[in-house]
Amino acid sequence: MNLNESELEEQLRLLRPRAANPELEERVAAAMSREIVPAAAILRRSRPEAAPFVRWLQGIGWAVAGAAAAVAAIVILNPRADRPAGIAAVTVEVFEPTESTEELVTAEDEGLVLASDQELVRQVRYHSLERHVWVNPQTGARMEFEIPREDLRFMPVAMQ
Amino acid sequence: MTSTPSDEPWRICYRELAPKLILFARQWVPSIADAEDVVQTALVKFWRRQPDALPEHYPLLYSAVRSTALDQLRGDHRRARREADPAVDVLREDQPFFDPGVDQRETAVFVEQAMRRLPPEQREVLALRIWGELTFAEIAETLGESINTVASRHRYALEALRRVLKSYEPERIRA
Repeated sequence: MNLNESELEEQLRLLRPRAANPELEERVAAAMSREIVPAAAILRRSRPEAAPFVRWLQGIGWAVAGAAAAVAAIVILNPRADRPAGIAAVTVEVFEPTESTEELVTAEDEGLVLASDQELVRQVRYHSLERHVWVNPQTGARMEFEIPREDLRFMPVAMQ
Repeated sequence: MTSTPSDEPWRICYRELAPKLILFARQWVPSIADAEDVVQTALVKFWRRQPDALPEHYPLLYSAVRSTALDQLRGDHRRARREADPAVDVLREDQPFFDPGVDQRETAVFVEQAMRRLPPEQREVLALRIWGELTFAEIAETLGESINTVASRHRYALEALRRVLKSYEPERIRA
């Protein structure tokens, strides 16, 4: 007996994927609670209101820290860039890229559009998050950063 | 109304999808333990972005499973190279893909063997389409391919399965 495509699909669907290990759900629950607890704790934490001068100092502090972090990231990630001789090159060499991932966050189908060659294509906008990890193998120091990314893709549409 | 642990959105999503997600992850990583780790990581990533875990976002969950599995595979390959081991053999473990009924055991074995012989890009489309129950549009979105490409891969996969299954007389499938 020959099955057509959809009959074969239906027959295959009768096979049920192997059940998940019962312990997995609790492992996921534990992993999720590890994710949420620190964030919730930070949100609930109440701070006494600081004096205006102290708030101004804190603002300056954060600005300086941000600028220092940006300069450090530029120096580390762009070792060939020209920089003053006073900046030690040894910092550049100790961190190594170990992991790069890209996670798809959303995909929006924006419908059919005409391409430049008058061909009908489907426009899909993808938002993703690149995550990079650099590690210093000598000290174990770890630097992680995330870069949001937006891609617009055009997919050919078959006209029947 | 407060949500109790058992009716949290992610748990509803988990109970509906866990076996399908694990089967999908197993198309990439070598063992069921690895597949479970992949699903755990992907669920946490997905939940972080989609706390409501709505069904229309499920294709993104499959996408998260795929990217996590590929990351893990790359890590395994790196580790294997470092330790001078033979290359990691994907799909080497013998834990079955399916929980067959009494009258489906032989079919399940043959289908699994046939799937293991498919190229990975056909295998993943088949798993998403048949057991993930995604549409071709959703599969295309998950894999970042065109709908025509995934439909072709699915057709080739079914044809390959049909050829393999033709060689025996199973209880349920007669291809």
